[in-house]
Amino acid sequence: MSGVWRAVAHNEGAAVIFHSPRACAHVTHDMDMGIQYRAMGRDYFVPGQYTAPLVCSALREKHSIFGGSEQLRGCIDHVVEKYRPQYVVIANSCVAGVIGDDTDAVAAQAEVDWQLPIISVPCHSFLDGDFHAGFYYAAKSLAERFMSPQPPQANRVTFLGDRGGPITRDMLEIKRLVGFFGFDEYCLFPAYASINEMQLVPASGINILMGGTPQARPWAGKLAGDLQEMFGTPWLDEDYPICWARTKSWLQSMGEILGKKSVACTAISEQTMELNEQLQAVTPRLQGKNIAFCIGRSLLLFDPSWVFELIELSGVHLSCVALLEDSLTLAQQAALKQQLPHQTIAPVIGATNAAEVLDSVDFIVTTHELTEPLKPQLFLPMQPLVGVRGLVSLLQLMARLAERKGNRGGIIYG
Amino acid sequence: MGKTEWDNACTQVNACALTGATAFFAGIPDAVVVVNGPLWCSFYARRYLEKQCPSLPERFFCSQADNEAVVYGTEACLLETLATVKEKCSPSVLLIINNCSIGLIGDDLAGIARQAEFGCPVVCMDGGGLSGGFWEGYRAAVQKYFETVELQPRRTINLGTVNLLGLSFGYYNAANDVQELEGMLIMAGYRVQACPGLGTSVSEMEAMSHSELNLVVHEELGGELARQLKKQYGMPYISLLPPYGIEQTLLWLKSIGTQMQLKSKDALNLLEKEANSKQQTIRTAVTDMERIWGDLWFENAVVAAPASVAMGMARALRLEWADIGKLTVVAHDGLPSLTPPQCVDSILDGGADSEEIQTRLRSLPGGLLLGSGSEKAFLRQQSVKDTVCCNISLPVYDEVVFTGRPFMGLRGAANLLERLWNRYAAEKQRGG
Repeated sequence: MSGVWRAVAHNEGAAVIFHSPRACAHVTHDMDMGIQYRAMGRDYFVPGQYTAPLVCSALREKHSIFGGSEQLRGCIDHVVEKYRPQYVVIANSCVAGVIGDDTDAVAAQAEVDWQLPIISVPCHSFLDGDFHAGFYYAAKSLAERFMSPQPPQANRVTFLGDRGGPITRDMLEIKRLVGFFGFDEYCLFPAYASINEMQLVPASGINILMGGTPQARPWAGKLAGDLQEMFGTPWLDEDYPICWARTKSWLQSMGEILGKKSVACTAISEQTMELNEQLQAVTPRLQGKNIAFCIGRSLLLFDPSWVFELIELSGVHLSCVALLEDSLTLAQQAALKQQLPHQTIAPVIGATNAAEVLDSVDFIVTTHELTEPLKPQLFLPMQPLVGVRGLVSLLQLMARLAERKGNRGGIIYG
Repeated sequence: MGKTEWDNACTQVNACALTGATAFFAGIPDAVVVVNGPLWCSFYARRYLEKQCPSLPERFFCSQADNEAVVYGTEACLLETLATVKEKCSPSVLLIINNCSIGLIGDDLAGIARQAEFGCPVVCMDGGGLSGGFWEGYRAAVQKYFETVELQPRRTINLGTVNLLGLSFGYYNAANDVQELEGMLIMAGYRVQACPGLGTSVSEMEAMSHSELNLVVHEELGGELARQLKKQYGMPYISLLPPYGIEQTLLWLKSIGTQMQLKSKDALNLLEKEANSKQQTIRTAVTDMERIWGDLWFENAVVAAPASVAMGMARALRLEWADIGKLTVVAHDGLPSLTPPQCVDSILDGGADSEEIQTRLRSLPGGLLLGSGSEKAFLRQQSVKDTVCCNISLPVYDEVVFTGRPFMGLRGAANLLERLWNRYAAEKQRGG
């Protein structure tokens, strides 16, 4: 449900109904506040930004016996009358799924009665997948409802996914990179898009995936495939540019798909220069440092390859990769032990047996906040940062950790 | 349009019932919580509480029930999780709690738990999201706990002892507040036997039936338990607004004194002396601030928190700390059962009055907000400027408290007034 919410939370004119107990809406609102405060902390908060009303049908025990369809209809009528939205999106909870309410039928009838798009997103919380599934199904529903073929505009690009809004560091970097290829008109989809902006998505010269994790990437690709099928828009079958090797390959692929190989060469050359310049400034600060890499995320959620590249570029010595046993099942640990030796020559060991090594390193890069040992830590973001500038910002954080004085430990969030 | 059951959640402050239930058990040393449901539900509850209760993550587990479990039952994944619990912990009490949808499929939690053979009390319940939010979940957990773990018969009464009811890590700064209350009650000549939900062990709770009086600190959390214990064990109780402000704290202590058989005039005199000394220090400092910054005056003030906190804080604000034009209280948990203090101009239902709450918050330029991160976030979204803000309720995103400073009691009064003045002066310097 939170995926559905994030897909349309800041879309002008949208109203969102959770067909759920009230608590699901409270939990989602709480999550949203965390996002707002993080945006404030990182200077990309936009005051005055539209936020859709989030209204819950308020399922209660009696609805688990008699069904919640009437309750939902009442809620739809209330939302339409009170907020006069341009459209309504309904997210179904696991409770609605178990009860077996026919949300689609209720939405269809309400749409006829109100003459207003009332979109039931066809998934039921964890019963049909995770955050990304909800995000995808909401996007697909919006595309089917609001988009139609448009004459292509060579300078327009659409980013499929959510990186925290239109002016985050990642969005600025990806816009800079597509700028090499002449794109200067952007659509974000499905999040942060008005109906007018959504209608421009089919005019895009290309769709770019903004997945970032092994979980998000397939759903973003599925959405791009749907849009290609519907409107013929090509898409780059690669996740967004991460670290250096994948930024290079992403630029090359962009050149190939757009028929602009020489532009790609120029872009790569400029990015190489920029990277080298930054490496010259940062790597001396990291010279001779020993680090450990602690992993507590399974390979299903996390592709560590970019971290190994980051470590290699930084010039530090990786003493070990420690698996955080408390956060991983035995099967997940086994998978990591099998896969990681293909990516690093550093020993891969359980954190329990790595205590001595962890104690001896200068700092740790980690997927989880560690209370022990008291070492400076770089907390790796769930979604890696975009492009060379994202990579450089992490290198700079590593240098700051390496130079941290005293024994105060502490975590820097990447 | 009048009030309906469908309100905009973007100005509401609540959490799920599963979080409320977890909050109660989080406050029992070595209690273990197993969420029978998806990771999402358990992760939220854990995140909500772990900052206030850092020991929670190591005693908090999730069966990670998936859509197959909804069809075939959760026995397999729950037994696997219980085996992990047995391997890693020695629980003093175990809570197994279904999330909303798993609750609907009707698995026999108690039967599954019996197979796991724990040597401690096991409390089984549905998360109860279908019957409410945080407060309903907390109250349901309290009820289930006391149904499962019986108290000792009330054959003897330990004069001068009290239990503090309705405390929880789910309330901002609760751990510091309870220390202050205990300290003051000791100074007043009493002893605290138990604070269920905030640090009291299973065995200490078993003996709480011998206390002379149950003292409800937060009515919305502890009122029901007090009434239940009166009915079941004949224990008298008193439910007052929490003691914010110096005068209100003294009144609070005097009200307790009227209910207790043991009365120590000397102890109360000592506390009054302490209060006077604090008052004098405050007066001197405040006079100096007033000379520079003017008096503490706000055209509009909003106090938003759980009902008992909001009403108690609003009373101290108006009667002891500042001059307010219009004072609005927003009760996050809905309209309170206790009568609001007369000094409050209006009281809004945090679960149903979103439109009016938004209007009041928009009227706060140059005003005062005592509330949570949610109201503050709204002010930022709406570009409402020059508002003096103090956090008094969860969720909080922009502040840490690790100095042990309470909000309640004599030290709490000084702390809150200090915060108010410091923020007022800072806001003035920012151009407010």
